[in-house]
Amino acid sequence: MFENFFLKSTAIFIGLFLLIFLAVPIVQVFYVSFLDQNGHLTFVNFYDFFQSDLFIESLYNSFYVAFMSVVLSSIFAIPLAYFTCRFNFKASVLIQSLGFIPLIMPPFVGAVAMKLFFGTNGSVNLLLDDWFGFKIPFMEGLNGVIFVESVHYFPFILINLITSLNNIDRTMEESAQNLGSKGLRLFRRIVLPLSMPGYVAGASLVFLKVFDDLGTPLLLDANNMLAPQAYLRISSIGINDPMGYVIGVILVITSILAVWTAKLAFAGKDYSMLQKGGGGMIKRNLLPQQKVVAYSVVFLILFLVLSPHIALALLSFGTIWSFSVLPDAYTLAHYKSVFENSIFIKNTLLYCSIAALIDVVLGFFISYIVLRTKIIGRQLLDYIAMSALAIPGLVLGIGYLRTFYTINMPWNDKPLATWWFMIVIILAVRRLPYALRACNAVLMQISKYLEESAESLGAKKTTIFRKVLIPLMMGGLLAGFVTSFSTATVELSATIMLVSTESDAPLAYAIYSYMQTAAGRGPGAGFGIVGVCIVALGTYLSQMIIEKKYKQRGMEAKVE
Amino acid sequence: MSENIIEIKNINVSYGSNHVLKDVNINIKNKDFYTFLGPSGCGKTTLLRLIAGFEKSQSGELYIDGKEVSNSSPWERDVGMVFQNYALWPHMTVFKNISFGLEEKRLSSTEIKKKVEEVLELVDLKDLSKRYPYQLSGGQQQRVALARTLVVRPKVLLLDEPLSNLDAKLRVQMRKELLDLHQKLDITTIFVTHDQEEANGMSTNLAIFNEGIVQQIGRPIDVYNQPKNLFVANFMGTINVIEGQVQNGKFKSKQGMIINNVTTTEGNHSILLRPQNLYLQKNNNSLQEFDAKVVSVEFLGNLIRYFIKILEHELIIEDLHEINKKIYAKGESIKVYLDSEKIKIL
Repeated sequence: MFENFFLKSTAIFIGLFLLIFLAVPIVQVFYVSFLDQNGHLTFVNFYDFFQSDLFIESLYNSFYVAFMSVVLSSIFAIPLAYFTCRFNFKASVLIQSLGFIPLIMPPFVGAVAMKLFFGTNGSVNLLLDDWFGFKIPFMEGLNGVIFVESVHYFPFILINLITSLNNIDRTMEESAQNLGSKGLRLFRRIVLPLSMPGYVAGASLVFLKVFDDLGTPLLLDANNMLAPQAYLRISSIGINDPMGYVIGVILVITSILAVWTAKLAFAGKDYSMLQKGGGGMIKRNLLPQQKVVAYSVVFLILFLVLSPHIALALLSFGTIWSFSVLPDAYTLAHYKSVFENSIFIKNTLLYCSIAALIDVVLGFFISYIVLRTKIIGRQLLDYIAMSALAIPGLVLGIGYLRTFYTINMPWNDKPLATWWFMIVIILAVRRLPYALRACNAVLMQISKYLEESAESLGAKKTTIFRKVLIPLMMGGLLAGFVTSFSTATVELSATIMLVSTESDAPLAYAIYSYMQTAAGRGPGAGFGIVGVCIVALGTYLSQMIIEKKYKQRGMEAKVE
Repeated sequence: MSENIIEIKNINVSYGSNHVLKDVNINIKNKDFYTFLGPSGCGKTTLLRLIAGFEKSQSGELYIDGKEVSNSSPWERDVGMVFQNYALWPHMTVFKNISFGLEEKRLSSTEIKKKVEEVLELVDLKDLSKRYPYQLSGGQQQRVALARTLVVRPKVLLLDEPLSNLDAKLRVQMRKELLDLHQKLDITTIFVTHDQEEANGMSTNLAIFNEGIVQQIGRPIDVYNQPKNLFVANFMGTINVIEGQVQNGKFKSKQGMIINNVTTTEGNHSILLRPQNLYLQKNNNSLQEFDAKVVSVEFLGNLIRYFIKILEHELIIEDLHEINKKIYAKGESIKVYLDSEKIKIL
């Protein structure tokens, strides 16, 4: 009886937490967007939005950039995915691991460095001009945003596509060949449609990420897009300006639509179910000429993928870097100022570890409640927690500002929204889906009988948690912690609204604000490298933990 | 055209050092129902896939309908294969799955519609043409896979363990349906299985494989009665084996069991004896009598299976079970009879 009460109150507590820190802020944004100056409900804000040329242009630009990023990402990802899955290709391992590299750094961190590499007077164009007498406008205006975002986000398409292709049973192709089909026709009729679910899942994710991104367009001065407009309105005009909220509403709706369309397009089409054998496509050997082409493509894309990291590293070690292929000289001075201002790093480590801890605890209980109890509304809990994935960080930030600005902290009469702990909470809410997924994945693999046999031996729920479940789930919990932690360290769009004083600012904010001035670029890049190292280390650790933990027990590692 | 629709000549297949098929020679007559039988890993599926064009041989020739096809692609061969896992395309409806092959032959849409409907009728799936594969049961998926292959009227139908994914009852029913289809369509069929009962019940001819080598070819009943070696004898049902020497028409085992009237060459031989050819009653006077002891008894319903000992030989007897027939108990001493006409000597 007591156990049931304990779980029920936990469920209610988590529900309240999500209500206050996820649902209410979002509802606030929607609500305010429909208010006029006197606090009456109205559509006039939306009317105004569509009357403004700037906003129409921003809306168009946001869609254009997101769409073109999907196109460019596809151009990077599709050949790589196809080579890996179709041919006996030594570089396959390379492709699959390089696929993850861009994900350890959010695009805004490398944006400025990319400008120095690919800009009109950047390294690549200087060389092109020298050798061939022409330049390519990689970074002109919106091109820059598209280019930077694509280099960073194409792995989403790559990974999903490879998974999809590897799930195609080879008899799918063989039976088509047996019925007289071959070549391109076979590809179009069998391989393409079967790989579509993976492609669309990846593409919609890219669309969503790019559409919501704030830092990259801001740092590349492409301010006539939706997210930057919302930020600029709120930060320059104030939290009562309705346009920021209208844009927020549009961002949320578009994100949800993108997720929903992807889901809808493939509802009930779980192809993997019917393909029992697996084993991927029929593999062929490459002819010598094909090998040359394939390797050139792979190395070109490898260069692109690594270019933000290389450029960032150069920037962080370089003295002056302008109108030259490489920096004039190298120095450690930037790292000196990074360590003089290490408060940002300390803040980030503190915020992110608390946030990740909250995530793991919530994730554990939510997955337990969903998978192991019959508490009414348990699915809803899961949906709401996961929905944070589709909510743009910027909109959540605006919502927090609006909701918690009017509430004062009892101990010093300052608005709650300016308290550093709110940054922790917003990070926790944003990263909860990652931890939750990790917890879900492990709990699903643990047989219910393990708990039931403990129960039949007289153990109480708390004992079972302590002695059976948590030890068994340790790998997943740690992986969830590390994933939430490391991705939170470079989160910008949610926290940017909530930083009230420099001394409370996290690393990502520091990177952003340093990068805005020419003098600050060096230290900014230094902070960027620190961030990248934290994330890379985190990713590496979580992989190690998962593998070790599960290999020991002979369990299969299926934690994402 | 010769009467053989498929001729397999000296085929060798190996993957690296793994020799999967060794000097395989098989001729398959037109309209035959031919079975490749063998344990898993014996090369039977590889040979089937070779005929379909999914595997390459290192040497040898393969003729389909008089044409050497070793170097032609799967889509040029005009053989229809039904895969073990059915391999239905999950993104296409039943109709689309079946019409695929016809579309590849560039038939007009009215013709396609007519043919698909015919074949759907043939496999009894008329109402399901708009369903997707995941909405079908295993048996229905199997029929769709069959229909998809039959609709293009291939020269040969290849079936790769088609019954292995079905439950026991459905398996028996599908066996009958496959035979009916074979008769109705008069199509040469090659059937791969590891189940000797399926093979015996269905095929007109069969080839038994082990370790990449064809052990014996023939009608099921001949192979059962006249196994060429111990592997075949064992694989085609239970058999008792007694080793010993033949001298002057007399077989004598090492343990001293003597069987008279054995007509074969002098020297070392094995006597093969099916369990149903050892008797507990003396039905006629030519039978030879042995003293035996019952080691254990299994009641199988239609049969009683006795494990007995004659001298030191452990043998199996299968006795038809009838109501009120005496059942011997464990440990009992009994008389056992055998007919030297019904033994096989190797």
